[in-house]
Amino acid sequence: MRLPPCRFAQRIQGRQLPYTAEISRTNPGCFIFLVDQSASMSDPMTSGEVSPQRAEVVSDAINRLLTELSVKCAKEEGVRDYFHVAVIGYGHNHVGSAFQGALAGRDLVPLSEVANNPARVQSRTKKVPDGAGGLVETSVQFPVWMDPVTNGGTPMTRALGYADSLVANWVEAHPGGFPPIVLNLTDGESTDGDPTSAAIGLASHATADGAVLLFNLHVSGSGGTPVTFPDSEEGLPDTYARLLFQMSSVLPSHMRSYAASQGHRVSETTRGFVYNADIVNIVEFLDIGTRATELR
Amino acid sequence: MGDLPVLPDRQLLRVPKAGSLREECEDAGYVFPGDPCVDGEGRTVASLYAAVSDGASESLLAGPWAERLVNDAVESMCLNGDWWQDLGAFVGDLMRRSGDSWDAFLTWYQADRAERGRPITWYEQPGLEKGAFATVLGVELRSSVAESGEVSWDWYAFALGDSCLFHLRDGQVLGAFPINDLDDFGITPQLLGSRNHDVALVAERVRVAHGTLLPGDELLLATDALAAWLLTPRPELPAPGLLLAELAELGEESFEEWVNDQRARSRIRNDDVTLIRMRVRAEG
Repeated sequence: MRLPPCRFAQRIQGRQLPYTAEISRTNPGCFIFLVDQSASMSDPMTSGEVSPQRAEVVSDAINRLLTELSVKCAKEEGVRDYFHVAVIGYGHNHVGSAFQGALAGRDLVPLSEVANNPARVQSRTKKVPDGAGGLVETSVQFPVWMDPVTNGGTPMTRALGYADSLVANWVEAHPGGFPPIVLNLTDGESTDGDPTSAAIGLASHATADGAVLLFNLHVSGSGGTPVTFPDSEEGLPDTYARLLFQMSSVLPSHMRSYAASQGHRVSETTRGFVYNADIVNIVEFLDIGTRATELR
Repeated sequence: MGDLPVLPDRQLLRVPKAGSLREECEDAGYVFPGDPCVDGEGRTVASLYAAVSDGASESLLAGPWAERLVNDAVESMCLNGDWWQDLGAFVGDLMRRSGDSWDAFLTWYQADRAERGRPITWYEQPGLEKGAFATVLGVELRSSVAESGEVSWDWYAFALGDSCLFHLRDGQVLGAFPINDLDDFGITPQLLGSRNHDVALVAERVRVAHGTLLPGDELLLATDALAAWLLTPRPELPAPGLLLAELAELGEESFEEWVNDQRARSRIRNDDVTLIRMRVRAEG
């Protein structure tokens, strides 16, 4: 598949193609993460002894997503506010900001503030090539904005409603901008009713550039093969996975191209849904300018 | 030495991306008139060297890297005679030059940040490790005066990425290099990375071109957003070269106003814009 559509040919008969609006400091994007913090998230991913908790997988994904976004938007003078970001947790009797530390209690936060205010920065060791064919351990800074939380039910419908109001305000303030992206990370077992209507309502908000994009990461103990950006329900192991797939937006064409360039098989009905696999690469789908790629 | 050739008129214009400060512009351009000399055939020659570079927005320190690349490209062309005849040696020279100056700059930069109480942060570290990236396009415009007094102008250009050279006659685009099709622009152009030391690979990817100018002809070097504008057919407008010449002669402010107007009409993508114009004076 061809790589990203030409930036200079994004008009057809005078009409701008959807999902091509500039993302910049003057036209920022909006990223809302919804994080399932229910009791079931304390279950392991699989029955194996070393399997991590679902909540750990999800908080790790959030911390890495925020790290990748910050690195992507970093310039010499600091991180540029190409995005405003919210991390909304939902669990026992609570739907609201899941940021810890200085950002606790805040919803949409400019990315530079996110980058400058992790709750803490851990030092982790990582093996990297030593240049002579071997590996050497090096220390890597790993910022943390949220820790795993598990408690009570899964008010996913309320969480989607919460995102709905954030998105409604955003779209009103940025009517021509790139549409908000909502990424829901969950084990899928909503306890406050079928979230489908709330998801449809959320994805019905739109800017002139297109409708809100709702993506889902399903972390599940149901096993089966991990699935990334499928174009049909076939092969999904249970009703939760199928429901989340149905709720997920179809990937816009340039995102499909990036998914293809990462080795995923895509079609025009490929959706922003991932089952038990890594979703952090989704940051690569966001266009903020010329990419820094090595010659090949 | 015979009559000295008259070097073409030249002009460098830069406009930062709308919403960015001038110092945040990550494009660079440089024009340098070489000293006249006598070539192997007894002709008096003088060259005008020019280069543009477009730093990749997603890389850290892309602007300083682009600045170094244009200076180093001009220096390498200057110091390597008929550089296009041995591209491997030329690319090797350019990469050594830019690698050395970049290493020195990085050492200074990190020390300066530490001294100012702003050490490198966790979100900058991966970008610094990855290196800075930019396109590079260079041209030597060589004027020769034969013993008969006849003057000729030849250009020799090299390019990596989507910054483009245009040959204009009567304001119309006669040829474009290295891209002449709008569909070939994208957000993943070929780039020279500050950590790339693979001379053979870069030499393989670098493209070269050569052409001859007549009196009155112009060469333009433009970074991608303006290059795409130049390649877009606009029958309703005056010839692009005439329009740019008129604007450019009014000065940088008028040029910037025009670029911003074109951006507002979605005719030019919102990106840094750099233009170098070189015009051979018409006879008489």
